[in-house]
Amino acid sequence: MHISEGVLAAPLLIAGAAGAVAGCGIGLKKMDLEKTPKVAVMSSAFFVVSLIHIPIGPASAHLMLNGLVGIILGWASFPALLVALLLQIILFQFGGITTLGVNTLVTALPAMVCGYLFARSVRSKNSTRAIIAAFIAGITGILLSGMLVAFCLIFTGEHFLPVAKVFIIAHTPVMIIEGVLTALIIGFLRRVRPALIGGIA
Amino acid sequence: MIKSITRYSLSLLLTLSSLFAHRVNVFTKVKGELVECQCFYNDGKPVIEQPVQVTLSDGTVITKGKTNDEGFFVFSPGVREDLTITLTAGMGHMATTTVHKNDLPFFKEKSVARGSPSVMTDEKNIQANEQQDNMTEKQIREIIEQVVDEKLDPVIDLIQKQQRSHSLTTIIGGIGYIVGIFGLFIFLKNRKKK
Repeated sequence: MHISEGVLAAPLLIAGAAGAVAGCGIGLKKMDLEKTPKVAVMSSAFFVVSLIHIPIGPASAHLMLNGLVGIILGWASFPALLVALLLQIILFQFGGITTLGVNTLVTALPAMVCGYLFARSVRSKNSTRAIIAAFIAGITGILLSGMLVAFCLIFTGEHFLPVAKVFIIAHTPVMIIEGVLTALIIGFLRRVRPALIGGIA
Repeated sequence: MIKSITRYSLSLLLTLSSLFAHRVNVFTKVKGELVECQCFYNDGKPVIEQPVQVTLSDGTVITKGKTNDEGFFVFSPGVREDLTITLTAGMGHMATTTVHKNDLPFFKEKSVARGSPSVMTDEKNIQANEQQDNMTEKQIREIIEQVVDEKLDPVIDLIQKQQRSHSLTTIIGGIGYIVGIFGLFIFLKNRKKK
């Protein structure tokens, strides 16, 4: 989700920036020394994964993995995603500096929600429950991001429902791929390094 | 019923590509009296059926339209002014580009009179000569522009292609920056603790 510069009005950009700063403030406060390398790894993962395009029909989808980022990092998703989005602006001109705050909120808020909703289930001893929770988290992350973009666009004169409807229909394949990927990664981490999952604080 | 489903599916397909993209691009080429805008997403897919608006520097809209099936929008500006071309591709995607008035030679306001004023013996003859000269100059200009366009087209395409693709070095560089930024954070937090 990279809203371009010049699309949104100043009050929304300021509100987005304020929200992102507040989120990053809390995230940085909760980010201890041990957790920081994990944040850097997840930030890099988001940075790289959203460059991978998956051609589906006439469109070309890209992954986000913000559900996974939320499960693993919790509040630290904010600084992780902010840094990744900032570098995407500088290196690839995705989005823009003025929309950085809004874009951070659009990706990090759903990540946070996924963290709160699914982190516990993902850590549960029942592996089937954990995998299903991870799959739903993958879907939820991208779905909520799309809804937030549709909400932001209300202020530019677009109507929420048509944009949201088209978004959901168009993103269904990406959501499923994202869900499967999140489930696979969580399954792998549970076996290899369970300590990495969770720590939602 | 089938018609409406087909129409709905078609409109959905047309809007699909705008939903996924990171960025939209507009590249312009001046071809004679026409300005050709090529609109595409960062992965190279054309921006189809999306609105384009051409404005002057004072904000006056001189033309509006939609991109075609190949992502092109062609117009004739009619004036020799700086033009701003704005593409709105839905879901918060937008791109602007400018065409400088120097790139629009066909819309000269007035051709400069040439010839020596001291040899004004036959005015009609001189005017005819000037007209002939202007015509020739215009024709030569057209031919040169056509040849230059043909020669430059592959170079421009190559530059556009390079702008679209993300080099591995930039991606690795980005990861390096991320590691560096969080490394710096650890360093600063550690120093505070000590």
